[in-house]
Amino acid sequence: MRFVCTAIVGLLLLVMPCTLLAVDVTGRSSTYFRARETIDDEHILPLFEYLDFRLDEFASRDLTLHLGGWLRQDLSNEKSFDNRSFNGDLQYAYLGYRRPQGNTLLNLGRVLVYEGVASELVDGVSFRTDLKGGFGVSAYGGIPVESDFDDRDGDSIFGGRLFHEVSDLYRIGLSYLRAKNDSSDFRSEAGVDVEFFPFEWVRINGRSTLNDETSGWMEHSYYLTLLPLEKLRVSSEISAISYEDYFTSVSNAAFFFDPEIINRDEELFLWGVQVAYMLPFNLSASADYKRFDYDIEERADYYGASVNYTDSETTRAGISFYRMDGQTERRKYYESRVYGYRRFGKLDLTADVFNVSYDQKINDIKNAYAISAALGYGLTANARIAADVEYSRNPTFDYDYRGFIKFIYNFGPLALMRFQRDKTEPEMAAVPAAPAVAPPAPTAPKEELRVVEPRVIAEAKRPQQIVEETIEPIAAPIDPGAMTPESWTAQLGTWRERIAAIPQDKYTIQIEISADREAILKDLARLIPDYDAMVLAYRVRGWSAYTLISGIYGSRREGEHSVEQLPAYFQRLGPLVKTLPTIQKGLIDPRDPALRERTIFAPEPMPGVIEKPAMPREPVRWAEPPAAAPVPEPPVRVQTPPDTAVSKPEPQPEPEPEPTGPPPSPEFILIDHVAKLMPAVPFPHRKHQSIVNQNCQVCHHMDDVTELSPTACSECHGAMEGVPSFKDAMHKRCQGCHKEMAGQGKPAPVKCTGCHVKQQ
Amino acid sequence: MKRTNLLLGLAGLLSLHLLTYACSVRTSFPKVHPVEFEEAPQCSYCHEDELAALSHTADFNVRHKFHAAQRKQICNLCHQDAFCSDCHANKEEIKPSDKFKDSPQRFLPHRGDYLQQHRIDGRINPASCMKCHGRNNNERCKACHRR
Repeated sequence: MRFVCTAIVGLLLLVMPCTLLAVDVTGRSSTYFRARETIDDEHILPLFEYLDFRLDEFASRDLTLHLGGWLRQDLSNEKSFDNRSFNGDLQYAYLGYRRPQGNTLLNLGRVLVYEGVASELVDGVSFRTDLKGGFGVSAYGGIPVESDFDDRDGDSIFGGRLFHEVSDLYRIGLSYLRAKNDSSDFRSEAGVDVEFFPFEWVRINGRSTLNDETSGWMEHSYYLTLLPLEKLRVSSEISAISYEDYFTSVSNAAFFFDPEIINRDEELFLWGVQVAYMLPFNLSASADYKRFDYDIEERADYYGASVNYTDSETTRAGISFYRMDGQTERRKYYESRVYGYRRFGKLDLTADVFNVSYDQKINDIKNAYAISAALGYGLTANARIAADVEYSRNPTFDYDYRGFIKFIYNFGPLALMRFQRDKTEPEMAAVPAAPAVAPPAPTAPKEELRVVEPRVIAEAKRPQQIVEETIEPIAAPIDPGAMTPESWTAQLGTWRERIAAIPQDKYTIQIEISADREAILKDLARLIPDYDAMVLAYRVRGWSAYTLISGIYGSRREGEHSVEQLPAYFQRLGPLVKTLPTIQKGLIDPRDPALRERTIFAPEPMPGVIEKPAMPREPVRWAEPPAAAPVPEPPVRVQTPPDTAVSKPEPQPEPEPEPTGPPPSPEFILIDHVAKLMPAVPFPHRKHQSIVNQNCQVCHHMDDVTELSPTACSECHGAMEGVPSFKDAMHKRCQGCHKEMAGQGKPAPVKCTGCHVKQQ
Repeated sequence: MKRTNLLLGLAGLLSLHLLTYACSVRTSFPKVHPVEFEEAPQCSYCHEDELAALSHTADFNVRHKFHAAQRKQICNLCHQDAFCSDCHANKEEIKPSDKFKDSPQRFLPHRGDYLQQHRIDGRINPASCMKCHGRNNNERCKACHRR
């Protein structure tokens, strides 16, 4: 304990200066007060404070500090537990390092270790990581945290696990644990654990544990789940336990076994089956059967059924009835339970009745029951108070009343469930250096394209771009506003050749994809004074369009940093860092007639969803022919040093104001990720905004309400491990709502072709 | 002895060095699950791959040990370690079913009068007691069960 406290305090002192910078603190304070009577007729009034919290991203974005524990003070003279008026425990306390790749974790302190045969609390260190080829490894070591049956001198524990996995098929691990108590061998266990998915509807989990001290198998435990139908689940459990090998290293005398009560040579073979079915009206039902077969004792059977109702918003209820047919009359009983929960706004009520009816009276009691009622109230979004009372009658107490009050306070923006995106640690200076690629100097800019800021300020706003000297700037000196169709096509050709010649190990920022020439020209004009930008004729799985890109970067990280520095308007468009090969793969001939004939993603209206066909758009306005166009003034770039910021010979027009107001949500989004297999989906985005009453989080569930640049679905779905695939996410989200709407008689497409509309 | 320690240290450093090359470069799971749940999550609603197996169905209390022993980091997407400690504690004075009476749908051990009931359960399957009370959290047991 002293070691842990010293280690934690030391670590806190070490990192405290850094923690003051920017720390996400998330946690929970739980205060419990209970009043009850003990078996010795003593009235006890203990007050508990449970505190657990986690500090994220202090010192480094990959570091976290976790701490959990509790303290208890008795408010009466009676000692409520363990003959102490004051007690407490440090449940866990560790400094964690989490690598953004490979699920690598390194924890130091009092850590919970669940790895194969290990289910331990350890004062020490634990480590795990995925390796290449589906392999992975974990290791831990330190001093075991166990009940104080002797001192901790000479105690140690270490172990590890090596595993291999093939996604969606199997995961298998080999683990080992060795522990010493008072420098003597105490435990030595080895095991194999497995998870196997032979078919979509079959899952197998299990493990076998070998006691190396006795050279016997402690336990085999396997679990089979069958999902033959969408609403039907059949699961089966098989376990075999050898008491002699299983109960060798314990500190609890209850497991030493009095031979007259439990024979140490006993072997238990347990098997059971559960059938569960989802019924209509939010009901679910399950039936269970378990058999306990013994080598020495008689067998026992446990069976019964339960029905539950769950309306996730407000109501839960359940009823269950089970029978235990034990080996003797004293081990035979019926167990029944009825409970209900209902929420009324901030108030919630719970009632619970639990009864055990023994075949043979115990202490002249046949029915042991407990009736409880709880009342809870949400004080704020993060605070809740609840109280419950329980009345019981059982073989121990003729009657018993207990009271319990609790106050829960969650701290942190979203309490314990906060999503934190992996942010890229900026490695650059606060004011980036001038880009290696000079911004283009427009030859014939319109007034709004003039640079009016001092060069120093303009450069400070530019993202840093890492470009090798051999790479030319991607932006050519053009004036997007003075383009003619011919010069536009020619310029597209120039950009295409230039981008095709850049080495493939580079990155760029894809600002947007659009078939709307006018829109892409406007955005190009907004970018080009301060940023290297270009437009490419681009094909995305069958759709011809334009893409606006900016900058060439040596790494994804640099690109991501530059994305963060883009003006707010472009941030809202959802810019993505792309590898150059991705862009190069989509390049098409700018003379492709599809680019000129189609200006918007306007599909056929979907029956029942789009009431008005397509979107009215103004025709693209080209600039007048060059001969008739007025010759504009060349751009004025003020070359003043930083300390003479505003010294300008001529009056300059104001720059175009940054667009304000709500995010410019797109009218349509073309979902074409599966265009090879199915027609792309022209998603009427604004239509859906109105359907969900502008509650963007219905779909953009990762974003704060105030987020100005909603995260695109494809940024996580299909791009990150462990996140539902893009297809799954789209289908679940779209079909779920559509079916619900259709069920309510509202128009919504539920068939494949309702959304996957064939391209005209 | 010194030479042995030096060799072991060097071997450890070499192993760590090799490990850095062998580590997977796949993106780690996010720190926290992007969707918040008030109820037991049905992972299969969104995940059609192996993660669907983590659905908190009625039998999850029986099989959660398998998942935790293989991929605790997935549990930690939604659960802080405090959640585990509610039941798997080194030292605990309040039984879980008393802490969460306002969550009756949860599987919580030791409902009702467990003082009497443990005499039956302990005979039927003592291994079910062992994980939580074998070497930890057994101060209350020692009041009666002495050597």
